[in-house]
Amino acid sequence: MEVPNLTDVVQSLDLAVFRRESFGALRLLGNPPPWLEEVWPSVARSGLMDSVIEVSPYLDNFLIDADAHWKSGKSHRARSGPWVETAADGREYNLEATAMNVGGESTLLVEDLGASFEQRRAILQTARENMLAYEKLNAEVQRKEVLLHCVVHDMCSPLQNMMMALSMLDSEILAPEVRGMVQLGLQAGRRQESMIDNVLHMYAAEMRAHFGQDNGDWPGMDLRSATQHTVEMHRPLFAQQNVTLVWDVESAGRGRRRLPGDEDHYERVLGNLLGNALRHSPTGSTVALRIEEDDDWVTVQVEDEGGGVPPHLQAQLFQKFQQGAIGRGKVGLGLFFCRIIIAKWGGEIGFSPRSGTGSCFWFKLPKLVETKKSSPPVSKS
Amino acid sequence: MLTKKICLLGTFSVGKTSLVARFVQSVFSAEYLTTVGVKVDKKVVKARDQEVMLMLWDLAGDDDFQRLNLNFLRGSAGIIYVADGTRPASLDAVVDLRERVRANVGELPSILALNKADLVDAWQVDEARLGQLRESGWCALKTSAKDGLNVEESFSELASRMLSQ
Repeated sequence: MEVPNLTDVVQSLDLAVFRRESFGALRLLGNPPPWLEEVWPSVARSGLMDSVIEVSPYLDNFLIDADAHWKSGKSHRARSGPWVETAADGREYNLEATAMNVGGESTLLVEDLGASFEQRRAILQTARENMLAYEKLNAEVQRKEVLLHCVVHDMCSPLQNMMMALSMLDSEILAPEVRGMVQLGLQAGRRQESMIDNVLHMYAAEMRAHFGQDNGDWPGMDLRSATQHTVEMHRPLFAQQNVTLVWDVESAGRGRRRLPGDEDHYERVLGNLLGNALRHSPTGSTVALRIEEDDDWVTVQVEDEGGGVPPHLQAQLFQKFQQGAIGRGKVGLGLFFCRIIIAKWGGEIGFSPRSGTGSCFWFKLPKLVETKKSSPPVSKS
Repeated sequence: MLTKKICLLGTFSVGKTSLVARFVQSVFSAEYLTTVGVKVDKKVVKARDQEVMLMLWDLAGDDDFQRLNLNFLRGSAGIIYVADGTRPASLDAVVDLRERVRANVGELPSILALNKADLVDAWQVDEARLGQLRESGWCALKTSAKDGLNVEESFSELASRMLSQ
């Protein structure tokens, strides 16, 4: 069988093969491929590229890397990456050069990438168009959230006026049935205030999460005091509904901990979990609050004896506007707020069904360690 | 004739190729065609009473899909950083990019082209941010490859800065 001539092989691959001469020029080996006559006609005619920078500034720049590669004597190849050359008729050619050592010769292959380049460009184009669409969608969502925030904020003023009027009425001497109606109005107003407050806090937390206003230089938390404060705030509500709130105060340890976050937001997160547990707890049941810690994490658990979370709702629990199985939630932002706060602090939040009945909602925060005096604390895990 | 190499840098879809097309060929296409690799164009300008051949290296957008090969900056006399004024993230990206360039090739004369100034309703870079950029040493110009706003001026200003080096 006849062995094919190397020049014929190169010819069939549509490559221009050059040898780097000692005086710096590139000498064409074999016949020029058709595209070379279009792109660099003088090189195709003379077989020599003696002033590379005038022919192709890009190739001239690559020759610095190619020379280093040839000198190293390494057997692998050095690639230039693609670049564009424009022919006299305006047609653009996408080329790529490869430097390699062949039989001790400094050899340069230049290839017209043709269809493979277009394929590569199409993939990149699609990826970038998708990124642009995502950026646009994100901007639109933010714009709408700002609008929502303004609308919700505007709802506060008339509500405050109504509450003030009802409070003044409540302080007057009223017939019992009228007082009952006034107090009903006040109760509804407070609920409305709480919902608006929830939306505004959620918005603020989400903006912080998106735009990174937290600088990570957290002062540390007194876990015991913050938890105690939250528990005390909720005890009257639990008592009103005849639900027992159990908390082992010693489990929280003593003193300030190097934890991410701040006490105000910690109390809001814990308060949300306690409020949810209470809402879903039957009269006479118990809600247990536990704090556990190991070397790396502090975990806070809230367990109730309610009906649990139906499996079809579990995956969306921490998304916006999820109100639970029978709509007992408020506006469905509480757990979403908790998720973005805990995520911002580098922690995790989750739900586990309890064996028997009820749910366990938990979140864990990483313990921080000091790196250097001048550096902010970093997560241990 | 004096020849100067200029690189256009920025993230994807900010209009680097469009700025070169407007400057060299006086054309504009609204169709987005992503650049892969590098394209080099040339144009002669007059700056400080002398003619200069500008070699314009239009580099592919720097992002997670394609990282900028800093070897392309070898021999550059100046840089045009390009951001899209309707996408603040592209401005943040170019600020980071300048730090990478400075760390690798040192300080070069540069211009910041805040492109797509024709998209007035979608514009997101306010005067306060522009002021901050200028205070921190950027020579920032609002440009539009579509209608030609400040395109010639950006290249001329950079040519002038390069010659005064």
